Amino acid sequence: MDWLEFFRGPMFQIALLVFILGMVYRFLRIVLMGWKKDYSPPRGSAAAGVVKTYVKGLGFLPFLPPKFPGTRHRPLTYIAGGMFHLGLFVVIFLSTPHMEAWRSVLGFGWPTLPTPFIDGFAAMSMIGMIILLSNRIVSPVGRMLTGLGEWLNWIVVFLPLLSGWVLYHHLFGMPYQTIFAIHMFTVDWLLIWIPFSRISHFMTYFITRTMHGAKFGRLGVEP
Amino acid sequence: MDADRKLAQYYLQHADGWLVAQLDVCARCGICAEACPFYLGTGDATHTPIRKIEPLRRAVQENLTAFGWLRSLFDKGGSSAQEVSDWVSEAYFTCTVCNRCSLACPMGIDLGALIQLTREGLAAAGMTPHSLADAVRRQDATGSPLGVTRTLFENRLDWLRQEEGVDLPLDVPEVDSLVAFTSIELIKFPGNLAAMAKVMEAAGESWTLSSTGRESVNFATFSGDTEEQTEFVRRLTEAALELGVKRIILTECGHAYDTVRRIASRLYGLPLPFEVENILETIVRFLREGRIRLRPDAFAGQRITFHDACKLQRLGGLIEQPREILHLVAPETFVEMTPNREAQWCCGGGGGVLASPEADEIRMKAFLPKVEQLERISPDAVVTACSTCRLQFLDGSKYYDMDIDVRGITEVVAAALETETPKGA
Repeated sequence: MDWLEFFRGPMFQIALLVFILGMVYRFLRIVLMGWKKDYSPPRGSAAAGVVKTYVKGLGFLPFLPPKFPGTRHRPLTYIAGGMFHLGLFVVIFLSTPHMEAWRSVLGFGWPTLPTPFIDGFAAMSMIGMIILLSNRIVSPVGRMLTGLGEWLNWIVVFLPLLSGWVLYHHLFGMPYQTIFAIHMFTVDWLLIWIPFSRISHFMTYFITRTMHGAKFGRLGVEP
Repeated sequence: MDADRKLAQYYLQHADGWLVAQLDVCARCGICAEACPFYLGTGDATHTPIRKIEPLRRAVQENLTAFGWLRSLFDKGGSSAQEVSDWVSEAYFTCTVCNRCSLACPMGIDLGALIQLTREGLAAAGMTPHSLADAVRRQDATGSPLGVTRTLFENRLDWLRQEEGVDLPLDVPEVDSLVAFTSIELIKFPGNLAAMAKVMEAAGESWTLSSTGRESVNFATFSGDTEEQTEFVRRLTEAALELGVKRIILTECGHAYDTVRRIASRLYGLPLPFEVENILETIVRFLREGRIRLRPDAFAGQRITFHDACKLQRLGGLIEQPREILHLVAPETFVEMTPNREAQWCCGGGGGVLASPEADEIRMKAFLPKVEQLERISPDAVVTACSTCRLQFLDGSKYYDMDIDVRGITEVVAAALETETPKGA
């Protein structure tokens, strides 16, 4: 067995297992610990609040920062965050090789985007990440909130994007097998890392957003 | 440090799935800073909202995460006196719990509730700043954080009756509404109370004040003392039950509306044995039922704007009511600040900040976004429905030398009542 086979075979399976078990643990911990019910008389619909918060939070805010004027001084943080997340989502789910990887795990596939588009989204995602990192270095608030964990998270997410990019463009004249193995290694490491880090917010986000929408919807305030 | 352990213990006892999710999801992006008037007014990164919950975050991280456990093997932790005093000042003096950050957070983290929980822990560990702790003790002993005893209360009502010629019924049973106001209004804005009485009379409302449930302010909400908070609400609700009223009407106070509704439903369950109404809802009810009419020319030629209070509008949902009222009394000249409604900049005085002398300097800085907002529309008057906001606006406009009138919305309504002679001014 060579490195590539190892990283896309047993190592990938172990990583996937750690990822799934870790995320299930995180999810169950929140659900089983439970939360207090809000007993105050409702002024509006919690369900409507949840719908609104997703429309705003997923579709609107990341790309149109002026909607909530909390971002007037650094709209770039918002826009870069939107670029990074959208780019990453498209690359992970809508590129042909990744869909094939999903098919091998899930057993079914879906239509994908042409490669040049994927290439653009990957670039957008990486540029977004670089802007976000610069913000962490340049702005005093960013510096204060950035610790070792944030650096590691950034690196662990950036490396699969970068290695995928190098792989696709055949950069640096590296043998295809080698760079593919590196890409798979970074992906495995990302999967293992996620449940232990704040990157797990991809799941917790849906819990806190729902809570947020329900709370403010119930209060009769636009979430 | 003993208090330190108590603090962590409190947070762990109150740790639930909600708290874990809120802390897990934070990506440390710092967008909340941009939403905070204390950060914006000072430019100081240490006032970033997510940092104001540091003791809470630390307690959960050290005790409920794998890394925290790993770290505790090498580092026994503990906090320096400097750190603790920093936690106290960040939680109490640089935050009005205005919840603006909660709405700005891309993850939907409920920062306002987290900061409130942080304060509750600090209160349980005996770390509440003296100014607030004293006010809570005073409210417990005298019935008012400003020390308005029952005798003083009754004397003051007598004075108002004579001075303003208004009817202020006290302890009348079986009426429709019990009105509870704040001692800030009684001492500082008695005009508001006279105005409230005039509106009640004009609408023909059957109402009363209570000598036992006479205070709507709840300083324990500010300090985070949950036991006293419930006790203060209980005094009010028990008066309502004894008098047999249909509803409690709360006058111009921000946090009372949220506190009374929340605690009362915990005490009695839903539906509540009485309605809890804010004066804004009362006025709109009177208007809709045709019981009062307002003159559209009452403030002719005056540019009037409305300041949304964090607890009434952003956290209370009473967003359209004041606009409905002001569009009637100043149809041509009502102007909005930008941003407004739930995105309105906080005045910087609420949440107990105004009551803490330690925060005097910084609360004027937190008023800066407000100054900017006002300068853009240069209104003649700013109207609010919260007496704390009103005090902060009075202080702030003086500090920044702004020529602007600050009014309570009940006074505005009373001055525009159809039966009244126009006051203009």
